[in-house]
Amino acid sequence: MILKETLILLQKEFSLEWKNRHIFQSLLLYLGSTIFIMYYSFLGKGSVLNPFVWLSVYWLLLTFTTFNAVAKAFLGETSGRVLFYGTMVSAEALILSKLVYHMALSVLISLISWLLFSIVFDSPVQDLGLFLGIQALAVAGFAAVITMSAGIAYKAGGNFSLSAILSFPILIPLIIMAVKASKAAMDGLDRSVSWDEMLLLAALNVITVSVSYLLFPYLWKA
Amino acid sequence: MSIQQTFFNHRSPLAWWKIVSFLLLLFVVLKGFTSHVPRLAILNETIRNLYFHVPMWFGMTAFLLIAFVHAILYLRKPTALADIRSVEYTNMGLCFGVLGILTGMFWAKATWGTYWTSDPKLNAAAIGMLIYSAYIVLRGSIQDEDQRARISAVFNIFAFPAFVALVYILPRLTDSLHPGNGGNPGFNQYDRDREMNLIFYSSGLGFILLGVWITTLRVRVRILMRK
Repeated sequence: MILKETLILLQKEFSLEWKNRHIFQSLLLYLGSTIFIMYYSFLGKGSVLNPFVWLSVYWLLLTFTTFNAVAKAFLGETSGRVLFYGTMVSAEALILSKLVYHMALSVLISLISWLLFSIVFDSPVQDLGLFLGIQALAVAGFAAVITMSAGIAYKAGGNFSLSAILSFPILIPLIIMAVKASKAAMDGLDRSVSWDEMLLLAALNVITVSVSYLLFPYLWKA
Repeated sequence: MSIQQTFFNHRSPLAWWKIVSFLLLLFVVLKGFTSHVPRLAILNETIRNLYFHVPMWFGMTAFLLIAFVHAILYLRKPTALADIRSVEYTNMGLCFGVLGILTGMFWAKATWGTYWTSDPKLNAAAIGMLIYSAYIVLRGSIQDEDQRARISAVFNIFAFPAFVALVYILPRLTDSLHPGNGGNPGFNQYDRDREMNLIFYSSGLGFILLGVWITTLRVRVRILMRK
């Protein structure tokens, strides 16, 4: 039952995204202009960036792009539609669809970020497969945390800056682990070095999704 | 007044656990500054900070855990009392966190030569405080009382796993400058004798009881103010 509702809601999210293509396009524009701001703030010396600086700037880009992509998770929900959800679907299905959709969206956007970023700034990454794997895990975790925070902020009065205040401190543990693991992948160290961090990232993702699943019904009723 | 009313009533200022807290902390202050401590390089006399700095983190974790439990209790059965307890234990946890950071900073100035370093434990604690400050901001931004209680309980439960990962798991993955980590001389079982252990654990228990005592007073004030 929940699965069916989730699938229908997911379909709705995708068709809404397709209908409002300008949102996705504006996200790409945000990504592009941010990368150019970064490029020119290094005085156009992108190709000779120190690997450590490269990595920190890249994670900054990923964090803020994911935030921009996901923080609007509940913003489009008008009061009429919320009432409709209340009668038609369970809160569990709603949060699951939001989580799955935004996690997938942000992984996709992070891949585009990687593409654009490594065109402008020469990539020092040696183990690309592992690097992108860590990136996908971390960004999915970011998306899960931001989705739930956006839900909380939405219920607290739809304040956009509140979701930043709520989510950024919780994102920091994820960022610390992701930066450590991806540093090892960048230096081409043995894959076993980043195993601990990847496991922890995956565990935190599972915890975030399950805690959101358990808590969201209480939030939605409020 | 009967013994029952004096020592076993939790509201009485002479309740048994309040007396225990007072005696433990008296013992800690007297012995903590005067007892024998091992002579270790760099640490020297500052090792006595063990009795005052580390218990702050025990206290912070204990109070945030109690706040987390009360947030769950609130969602299971919404009562004003559970909400007030949850927020007041969070406040007490934040207060102990500030004291922990302050005692640590003065100690760091004496041993590491600077108030703030890139030490993972230090920064994890600071970020943990940010998470719970966001909780306070969230509460401030909601007018309706029931909504505030419910939404902030949800956030409190949501934030706790991140806090635990931050303060207890992440610093263990990296070397810390803290005594006992990364080859620094420290408070491990070899140089902490029985007397130090006794003072240390008395301090932990004493400060937690003191925090509970203060929080129960604040909860009672909040309930009186509602009437």
